[in-house]
Amino acid sequence: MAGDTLRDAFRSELATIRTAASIAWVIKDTLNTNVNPDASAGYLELEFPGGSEDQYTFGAPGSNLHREQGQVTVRVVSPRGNATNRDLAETYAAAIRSAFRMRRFTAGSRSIRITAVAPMGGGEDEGGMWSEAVAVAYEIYNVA
Amino acid sequence: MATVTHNIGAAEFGKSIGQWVKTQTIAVAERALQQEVGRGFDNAPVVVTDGMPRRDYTQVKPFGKIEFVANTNMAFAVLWALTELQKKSPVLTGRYASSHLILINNVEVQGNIWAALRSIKPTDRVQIVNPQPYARRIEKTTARKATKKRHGRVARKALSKQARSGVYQPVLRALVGRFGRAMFFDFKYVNLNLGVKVWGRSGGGAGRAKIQRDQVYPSLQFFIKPTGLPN
Repeated sequence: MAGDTLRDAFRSELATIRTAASIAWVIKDTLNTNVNPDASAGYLELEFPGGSEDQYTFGAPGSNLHREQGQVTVRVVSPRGNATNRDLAETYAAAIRSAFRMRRFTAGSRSIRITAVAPMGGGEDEGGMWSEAVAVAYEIYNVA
Repeated sequence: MATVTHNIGAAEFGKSIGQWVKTQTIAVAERALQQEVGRGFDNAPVVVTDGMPRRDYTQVKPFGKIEFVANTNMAFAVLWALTELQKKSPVLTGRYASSHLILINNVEVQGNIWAALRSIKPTDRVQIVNPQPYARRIEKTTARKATKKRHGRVARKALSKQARSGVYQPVLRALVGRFGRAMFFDFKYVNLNLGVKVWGRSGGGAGRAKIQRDQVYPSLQFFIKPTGLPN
């Protein structure tokens, strides 16, 4: 599926990281879809809480850079009450965080730069699953 | 009388133009900051010189850029979020709206919240939670979180018509838009060990069982983004 270019780039990059890091759990696109994840196994998901943008250069219209800075949250979701799953979730979250640190990848004709990553700790999600969150700060220069 | 002329050449000329531009850039930046502070802008902002946070602005490159960013500290962001949560809270008796708590490392802040928040360290875990037992139901859930067949939780509307999108999640989005350059934010449900139990499912698949488990509460979490590195 083709959606927002930036979000697609993150979805694709997470898939690449998952393969490279040998993460066994699958990626579920649960963002406003009808996917009902299987609660007996862990999975990965992405959230896009947003960001902000401001004009960075001032010149000829159509050639100005607009700096967009935002946050993407990667969730490593696992069933509760299982030490094996907990350990796996922590391992996967750490691997994803390391892989995203200072990473650069493309979104259409633009380049996304990861400026910071952070472990946001664990908690529950609405489905009653345990969720380890990794926050990823990105920066992209849009042209207009 | 003989006239002696030194250093007239393209390289020297370019250098002096660059120096002039640099001096003017600094002068304009100082004047602009002075004016903006007079209008209420932060009088101790973070300086971003040529894209580098906290670099001395007198080291700006010719044709470079000096930015002053309002110094967003954790205390300000947390208190702003608290106010927004209170404003967005549905009101019947006012108990929910007045129940948002600030926790630092899982300990409730009592007394002077501002002073407590001003002294936190970057590694501290700051959260805002609402410990009312119906707080979870005030949040809206979409189908994406409904592990319906295996887990028994389904999509549902927010409990109150006064806050159809819930309370915590809209504030999360507002926080990211407003303070996202300096901090990370996360929304999740946390267990506060208040002794409130609810019926729920444990595990998944064929082995799942119906059990009484701890109630969870909506929470916003704050984390200071490292900005000292050039990255």
